[in-house]
Amino acid sequence: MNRRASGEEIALFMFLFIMVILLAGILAGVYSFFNKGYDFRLAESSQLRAALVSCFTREGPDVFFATFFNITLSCGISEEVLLDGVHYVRLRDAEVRSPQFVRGVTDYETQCDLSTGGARENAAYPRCVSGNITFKGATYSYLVGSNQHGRRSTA
Amino acid sequence: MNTRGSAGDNLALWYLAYFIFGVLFFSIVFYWLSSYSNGEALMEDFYAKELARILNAARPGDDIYLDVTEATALAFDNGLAKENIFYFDTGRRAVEVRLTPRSHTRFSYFNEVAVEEGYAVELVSGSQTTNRLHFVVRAAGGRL
Repeated sequence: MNRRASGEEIALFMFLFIMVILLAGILAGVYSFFNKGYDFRLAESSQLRAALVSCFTREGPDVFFATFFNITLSCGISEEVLLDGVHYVRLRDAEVRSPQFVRGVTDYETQCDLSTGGARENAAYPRCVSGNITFKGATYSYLVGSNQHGRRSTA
Repeated sequence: MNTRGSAGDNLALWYLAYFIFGVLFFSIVFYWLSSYSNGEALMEDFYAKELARILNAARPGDDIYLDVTEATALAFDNGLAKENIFYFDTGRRAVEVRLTPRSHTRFSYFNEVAVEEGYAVELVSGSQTTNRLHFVVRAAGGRL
């Protein structure tokens, strides 16, 4: 049966359409105002960097790059947290780039560059700190990143 | 058959439908917005991250007091007891802050430390308006 929509049905559709537009506007307004929240990622990366560098200078590269090295036992940094999908730690010889210590999301190597890439800057990418350590004449480079926002859940 | 006037007969029903949809829509939106407008979502986020920052820098044996007056004021307004506001998940190295009965915010810390049992929100002696969270840090199981 060919049935054309009545005026009331069209009006109801318009009403619902306006409600959706209103909802989208309210959501966009709330998120643009609140969602950035308290961005702790760079501060966390700095804290992690400090713990990592302190441990490296205490333990030395021979221990740090050994296959049996356990960052939880030696440095007091939870490996479980480093592997939770929102952290990255990399430390290696700056010249030969090997051996190296890596834990976490390796894609952050690229994303850390993009997060501070000027026009390409994207808030979705992790916040990272990088630099060099000189230890007994050798130079080591590090990169530490965090993209932890915290998780809000119901009940 | 003469059907003129049928639309007018249904007009009240259509208005009723619009009214119900409208009330339902705005009720849901304002319920969701209320946790933001009261600052609960922001405060949960703030205190969870501050506690994680403190624990990341803490050493075993540290005795820590943190002013949590703003958080407790919101939580008490929402009917929460002071024992249910802060939770340290030492097994998973995480902090949970709950300011409403229906939600909480969780944040991980990387430092291999734990919080002693018995942490509590305390009323500062001599003050009716200041609450503080008191906890003692200890070495976690895996740390040498």
